[in-house]
Formats: sequence, structure tokens, C-alpha cells
Amino acid sequence: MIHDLTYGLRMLVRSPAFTLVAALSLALGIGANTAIFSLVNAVLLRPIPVEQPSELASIFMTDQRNPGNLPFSHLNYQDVRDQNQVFTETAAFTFAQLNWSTGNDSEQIPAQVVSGNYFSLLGAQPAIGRGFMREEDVIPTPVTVLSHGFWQRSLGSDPGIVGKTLTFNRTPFTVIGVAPKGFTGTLLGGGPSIWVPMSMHAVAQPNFDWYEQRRGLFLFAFGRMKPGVTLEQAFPNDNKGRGAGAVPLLDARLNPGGQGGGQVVQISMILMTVVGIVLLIACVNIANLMLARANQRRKEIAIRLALGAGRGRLVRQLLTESVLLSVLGGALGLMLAYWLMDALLAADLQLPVPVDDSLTIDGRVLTFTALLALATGMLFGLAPAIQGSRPDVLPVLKNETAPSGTGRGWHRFVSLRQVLVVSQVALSLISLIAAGLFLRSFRDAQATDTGFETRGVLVMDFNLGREGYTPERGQLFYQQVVERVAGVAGVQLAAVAQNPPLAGGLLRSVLPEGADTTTQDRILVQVNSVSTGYLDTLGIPLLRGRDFASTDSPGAPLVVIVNETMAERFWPGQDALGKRFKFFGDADFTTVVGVARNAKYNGVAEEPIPFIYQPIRQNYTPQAALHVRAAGDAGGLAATVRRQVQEIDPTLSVFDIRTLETQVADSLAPLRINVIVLSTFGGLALLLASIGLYGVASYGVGQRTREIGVRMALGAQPSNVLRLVLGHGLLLVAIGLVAGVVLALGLSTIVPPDLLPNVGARDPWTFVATSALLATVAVIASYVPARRATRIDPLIALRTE
Amino acid sequence: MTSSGQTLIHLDGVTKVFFTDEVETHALAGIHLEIKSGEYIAIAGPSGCGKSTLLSILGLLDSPTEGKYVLNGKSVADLPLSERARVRNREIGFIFQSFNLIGDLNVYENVELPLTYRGMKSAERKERVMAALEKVGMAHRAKHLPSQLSGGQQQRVAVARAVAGSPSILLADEPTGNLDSKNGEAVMELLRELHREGATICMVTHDPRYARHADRSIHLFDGRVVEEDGTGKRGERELEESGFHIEH
Ligand SMILES: Nc1ncnc2c1ncn2[C@@H]1O[C@H](COP(=O)(O)OP(=O)(O)OP(=O)(O)O)[C@@H](O)[C@H]1O
Ligand SMILES: [Mg+2]
Repeated sequence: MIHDLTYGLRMLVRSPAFTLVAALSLALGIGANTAIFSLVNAVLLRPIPVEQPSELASIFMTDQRNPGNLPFSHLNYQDVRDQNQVFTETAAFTFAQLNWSTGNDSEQIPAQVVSGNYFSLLGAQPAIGRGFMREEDVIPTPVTVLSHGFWQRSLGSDPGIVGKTLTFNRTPFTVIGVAPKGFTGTLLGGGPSIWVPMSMHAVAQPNFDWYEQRRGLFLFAFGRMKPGVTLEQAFPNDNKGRGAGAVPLLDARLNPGGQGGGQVVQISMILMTVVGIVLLIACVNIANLMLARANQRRKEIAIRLALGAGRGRLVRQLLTESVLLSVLGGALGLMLAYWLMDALLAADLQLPVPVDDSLTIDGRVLTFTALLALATGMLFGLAPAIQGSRPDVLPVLKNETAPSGTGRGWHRFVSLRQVLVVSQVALSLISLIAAGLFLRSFRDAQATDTGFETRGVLVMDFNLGREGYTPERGQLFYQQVVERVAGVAGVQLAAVAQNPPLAGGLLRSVLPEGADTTTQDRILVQVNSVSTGYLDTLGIPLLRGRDFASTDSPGAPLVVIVNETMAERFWPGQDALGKRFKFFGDADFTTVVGVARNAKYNGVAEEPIPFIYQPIRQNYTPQAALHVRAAGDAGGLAATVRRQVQEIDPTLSVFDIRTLETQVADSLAPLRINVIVLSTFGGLALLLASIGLYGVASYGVGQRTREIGVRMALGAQPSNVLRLVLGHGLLLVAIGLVAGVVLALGLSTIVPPDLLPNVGARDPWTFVATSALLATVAVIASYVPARRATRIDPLIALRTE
Repeated sequence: MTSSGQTLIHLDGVTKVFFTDEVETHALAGIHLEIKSGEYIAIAGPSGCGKSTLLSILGLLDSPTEGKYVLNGKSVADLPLSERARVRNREIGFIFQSFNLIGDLNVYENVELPLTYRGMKSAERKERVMAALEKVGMAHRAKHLPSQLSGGQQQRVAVARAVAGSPSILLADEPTGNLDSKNGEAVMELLRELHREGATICMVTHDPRYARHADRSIHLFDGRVVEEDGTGKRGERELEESGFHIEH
């Protein structure tokens, strides 16, 4: 064994080019897989720090009209809590965004509003302090438990934090504890920054009056099962179309809606698939090299066999070499993984789940890497080892023809090594096409006309509800803020709206006047409440009619401005101005007073949809965004505008002061993640494939040295030799490209159309460009060995081997 | 069997020195040699005396360290690489000890190979290839792969490859070295036949029986010509200078 090892090491050292190429390929494949696996591990696989997680079950409501696992209403949850027979205890939580004020500044932070037994039921022992107590659930008590991450990041890991107060929604809360490290709640993902007891919901969720209504489904529940109880007993779905169900909490984490994996799981799957392809290409590289080498060593092996070495021993020897290679590749891969993970974090990918403090290489990741390295080494060392240990005795002994490793006729096309190169080219083309399609889609989206003027506009959010404003005070504030900010030097226009651009909006049912008011004619249309001057501020042209005026006040007739698509769809061939409709639930008609040019409302890639602007004075909203159009650079005005806002209300929290350009760029973040990740791995695949091509061409030249020498003795010019070697490689590349295009076209049929807006999965430009890129890289990769071939000394022909 | 053609090859003071790891090997030390068109020359001598080196210089596979080489009236001692390849392709026909047929190509394609490097039209190539194969009696095996042929057959194909392009000279380095005596005899007979038809041949051989086929034998020893049978007085002079005795 020791002998095998030292001999193996010597063989690796003796052919440094082979060792380098093989180890590098493995390192790239294993590095990429380790990095992504550690991401998946951090997000999906790491155990949650609670007691006996297998006893926990997620409880949900079912409804025949709405598929999937639904949350509970508060009242229904109370019934389940008090009447069920299977759980020792149940707990519930919901989500809220809180304003956290720190002196002059404030921040929006994610919070969970939880039942008082939340921490005790889970058995999550706080790192410092304590969890909530039952009384704190019954008697409103302003206390909070901080997440470990929030405590570290935002409070500098202050060890004396317990007992101090933090101000949320203008209410001081006493910190009673810090949750255990790594605890992010029961759901998958980043979790909240803080927890507050449900007794404080009026502060945490102002203007949210669903706690006493059975129609409001917003509470997520879980329970700990009594000993011996199984889930089958726990919740037989009951009658009346509604019932309750339960699944193990750990399953629910991965599949929150009960209808296939959640977004996080899907993204993880895509990532693992892509890096899997990268590893596959790397493995093909190794297999190719091993085969080439086994071929080269046929003579050595034949001699060893002739000297009486058993085949078992030879296989063991060859396997030892590949395992040694794997260890080397695995170690390099691990180093690469560390570097890749840093790069992933540095790239600020805005993943749907923040992973920063949990992204590490732990025992599980190490095991994964080690197994991966060993498996690839065994797998791709075994076949060549077996083949290599059974050399075709006759040609070796006869020594008649120059062993070129390739057969003749059909044989030439089905040689394993060539199939491997072809599949490698095809695989990397697929990953390049994927990256190219997303890149183009991203470029297209960036260049899309949003329908509004993005340059020179500043946007900021506030939530008057969390500040305790009444609607009357709120309306007054909106009026004041617009007037004041519009007066600032350098500001041209200002307006408020319920939702900033591309942030969507509420859907409301619209019933046109005169139409049949059965459900068929109720069409859902998105709406936004805006102040006078909003369209001008954003540069959205008003095509017909008028803007809102101060006369469009609460008591006056209800008016709206609609967009072109709405006008065409509801009143085709007619003038929309003066037309009337009712919003579902309204007693009075609403009149169209203007038609605005179409814009994008939910995303850059959106198709034209009907849209309604309502005057904010007739439709109060406690949550709003202020839009400011600057004469010049918008970013420079941020501080001045903020000061003006705070002169009206010094304690008001203003968040996320940003330019509209940033807002548009942020809306492209998911696409951007795909572009970055797929380009990275597409590039890696390309690199690996070119290493593979280089290796194959290089070994081909090595094996055909004599043949090339003979050809040169017979008068072949260097250009003939160059063409011979390049042509051989490029034929394989061409076949691989065709195979890749065919496969990619096949795959394109299962790509959901909205994944690649504007471009689609069959964009010919991308197919051509990526193929050209790969072909160019292939030429370069085989050019180096081809050049070397032209320097072969034709004297070799005179030598008898 | 004496020939009286024009001077085809003229070597003057050709030396070849190999430098390896501080050791200088004088493989050729001042060779003077003249080969006339239509001559059949055998080069003999002990192992390591420089026979292959001489042949490689004659065949422009290597260039001399010093000395003049005139082929067909043209100095070829220091031609650039691609020009040498061109001259090799047109003027030289090689026959190797280990045949050196290309395993991926069939018999026909092997013979055709030097012609394709000449940029010859396919129709003419076909004519020449078939003529050459007829000459060596291998036309019926045109579609076979080298691995499907015996050693003697392979060497005949190699001869066809060497003559297909009608070179000025055929260079053969121990063409029978890998063959049994029967097959070896057949190949020698083939060369003799080519010679009768007018080919110029320069052959390295160990075997005195085969050397006798030639018009003239040159004996090399330590990189020098020590004996020339047939014509030429210079060899005799050198032989005497080296302390050998010649019976007249
Ligand atoms: N490339 C080379 N580098 C160094 N020395 C060389 C080289 N080629 C030949 N020699 C040396 O030059 C001398 C002549 O070699 P050459 O091959 O010409 O001998 P030969 O007469 O053909 O011998 P044989 O009958 O064994 O084929 C030998 O000493 C050999 O070692
Ligand atoms: Mg020799």
C-alpha cells in the first residue's frame, strides 16, 4: 500500500502537466460545488436550534376554494388552540415591519408578533436574558427579544443590552433577551430582527384591524405533539370545506405553501443543478485525461503484466493514483470554495435569504466535499484503470503501426474519449446559453422604457400609521410636505403616492356602468393613490383630460385617471373621459377625468396592464412615498429634503431615501442574481471545457508525435500539421456545438416563459454568440498544442522505437 | 550496371556534431560524397558510425553542422524550415526501417499523403497512387489498413509511397531491418527493379548480401568514409591515410 502510494506520487510528479490539468479541473468542479453546497447547507439543511424538532408540527388551515396550506385567522387559531386533543401546546406568529428610531435616524426592521409561549414551546434557550412569559401575552407589555444577528450587527453585541429600551413605532420596548445564535424562527430563511408579544399587536401592526374577524388569515401556527401521537391522528381534514391540517415542521420549512417547493428551495435546486453540470464537465476532463494516460502507459502496463503482476494489483495501483489526484483536487477545491464564498458575499447578491453569518464550511460541508472528491476520483479512475490494465496485447507487442489511439471509420466516431469531448462541449454550451439568455434578458430589461422619467427623481417612504397619525392629520401632512419640498431650491416638483414606481399596488374589482354586474364583468385592476402633480413629477404624459385638482376633495364626486390599456379594454372605440364605474363595495360611481400614457407598474418586463390612479385626498393611505423631481442631480438633494420633512414632524421616520434609478435597478435584482451566478458558472464551465480540449489536443499530439514526424518527413508543411491537429479538435467541437444547440432547444420547451422576459429561451442571437465564443476558445485551447506539434523533429521517423 | 548520369548530390566537408550534456558527439566528420543520377548506393558500417545521420542530412531531415550540400545543382545546406519541407516532399522518397505507415489511413491514403502536401489535383493523385501500388503489387489492398497487412506488405506500401511522387532520390534506412529474410529479399528485389527503371537509390544496410546489389558501397567508420567500392578514389586515399590497407 505504501509502495502504491509512493509510486503513485512519483507518477503524478513525473507528469506535471497531466497532474496540473487534472487537479485544476477537479478543484474547479469541487470548489464550485462546495461553495454552493455550503450555501444550501446554510439555508436548507442546518438544524434549527430547538428542542426535539421532530415533535413539532406546522398547523394550517385548509379551504376547498383555495388550494394550499393557509394561515389561520386569529379567532380560528384560538379555537384550534383550545379544542385540539393532540398537541401539548400550540403557538402562533405573524409578520410586521417596525420603525426603529435611534436618535434622529430611523430604520425599518422585520419583526414577528408572537404568542407568549413562542420561545418556551420551541425550547429555544435565549443566548442572554429570557424569552416571553405568558402574562406578557395577555397584558400588553412592551418587551422584545432580539435576534442574535440583529444584536451583533446593529447593537455591536452589547453585553448589557438586557433591560435597555429600544423605540419601535414611537413606543419604548424593553429588551428582555437575545435569541440563540442561528435561530431564525421556524420558517426557512433569514428570520426577523426582533420578536414582540402578540399583546402589543396594536402598536406593532397599527391600522390592522383583523384580530377579531374570521376572514383575515394571517396567523401561522405550530404545535408540539403529545407523546405517542402521530400526525395521522392529529388532523383529519374536517367538513364544511374548511379544516385544519398539520405537517412536520421540518417539512413545512421546505414546502411552506404545501404546493411544491418554495422559492428558496427552487433557487437552491437551480444552483445545485448548474454546479452539478460544472462538476460533470470537470469529471469528463479527468476521465479523458485518465484514458489518454492509460493509453500512453499501455506499454508500461503490458510489461508489468508480462512480468507477472496481477490485474487486481494493477487496478489498485491505477486507482491509488486517481484517489491521490482527488485528494489534491479536493484540497485545492476547498481553497477555491472559501474564495468563491467570499466572492458570493462580496457580490451583494441580494439573495432572497440573508446568509452572511451562517455561510461557513462546517463538518457537513467538509464531508460533502470529501465524498465528492473520492467519488469522482473512484468513478473516473475506475473505468480507465480497468481498461488500462487490459491492454490490447497484439498491437502493443506487434509494434507495427504508430499507436494513435484512434480507430478508423465508425470506430473513430464512437471512441470513448471523443464522445467525452463532445458531451463536454455540449454541456458547457448549454450553461453558456443559459447565462447568455439571462444576460440578454437583463440588458433588455435595463433598456426598457418604463413609461416614466427615471432620471432626477428622489423617492422616500414613510408610514404615518406607525406614527399614530389620524387620517385627517395624515392628509394635512401630505399637503404640507408637497408644498414645503416643492419650495426647496433645486426641486422642480414633488408628489406623494401610496406606492413608489414598480412596487405594484392593490387590486380592486371594477364594475363598469351599464355592464352586467355579475361576476363576469368584475375585473381586477391595480390602483395607486396619488397626489396632484404625481404624473408630472414622474414624467408620465397625461394624454387626455385633466390632472387631479384641489376640488377633488373627500366630499366631491369620486374621480380617477386611467391608463391607455384600461381605457381601451373597458371602453373600446369610445372616449373614456366621463365614463363611470364602481369599485366593488363602493356605493357611489367613480368618473374618469383623465387618460395617462401606459407605464410599468410591477416590473420592467411587465406587459401592458390596465391601471387606475385615484386622488389621495379621496383615498387616504397611511403608508406613502414622497417623489421629488430635481432640476439637476437628485442624490445631492437627499439631506435637504429630509430636513424639510422633519421640520414638519421632527420625530417622523423616513426610510430608504433613494433615486428612482436605484429603485428601477433594485427591481431587476432577481434577474441580476441569475445573471451573476449563471455567468460565473458558465464561465467556469467554459474554462473547464477549454482545459479539457487543451488536454485532449495535447495528449493527442503527444501520442501522435511519431505520426506527425513521419508526415513532416514526407514533406508536410507546418501549416499542414497545424490544420491536422486543429481540424481534429474542431470537428469534435463542431459536433459538440450541434449537440448542445439541440439539447438547449429541447430544454427551452420546459423553461417557464416569464423566466426570460423579452428574450425567450430560444433567442437565436444568444445561441450564435455563445457558440462563437465557445468555438473561439476551443481554437485557442487546441492552438497551443497544435503549435507544439509543428515543432516536432521529423528525425523521429528515422528512429526505430 | 554502372550509371553515368549527371551529379545529383554533392556533399563537401559535411560534419555533424551533437551536443548533449557537455558531451560532443562527432557523428559525421568531413564527409565528401557524390551521387550521380541513376546510381544505387549502399551505406554500410558498424552501429553508431553515422549511417542514419548521413541519411538524415541527405534527406534534409537535419542540417549539417558544417559543409556544403548541393542537391540538383542547388545548395540546400541551410534552407529555412518550410523550404526544406518542400524539397523533401518533391525530391526525396523515404523508406524507413519501421515502415512508418499511418495507422489511421488506409493503404491508398498513405501512398497519397505526400502528394496531397504537394497540392496535386485529385485525379492526378489517383493515377500516380494506383501506378505506384501496381508497381509494388499492392493495388488489390488499397482499402486495407496498415494493421491488416504483414510486415513485408507494409514495407511494399511504404516503397509505393516513396516512389509515387517521382522523387530525385530514394533514401532507405535499413529497409529490411524489421523483416524476415524472405520478405527482406522481396523488398530488395523491388528496389533493384526500381533501380533498373532508372531510380536513384541510397540505402543504409548492415547486410553485405544486400550491399552487393548496389553499384557502389560506402563504408563508414566513426563518421568518416573509410572505403568506397566501385568508383571513386578519394575513399581509398582516406582509407590509406587511416592506416588501412587496400589490395589493388
Ligand atoms: N540526436 C542525437 N543526439 C545526440 N547524439 C546522436 C543523435 N543522433 C545520433 N547521435 C549519435 O551519433 C552517432 C551516429 O548515430 P547514427 O544514428 O547515425 O548511427 P548509425 O550508424 O545509424 O547506427 P545504427 O547502425 O545503430 O543505426 C552515434 O554515436 C549516436 O549516438
Ligand atoms: Mg541507424
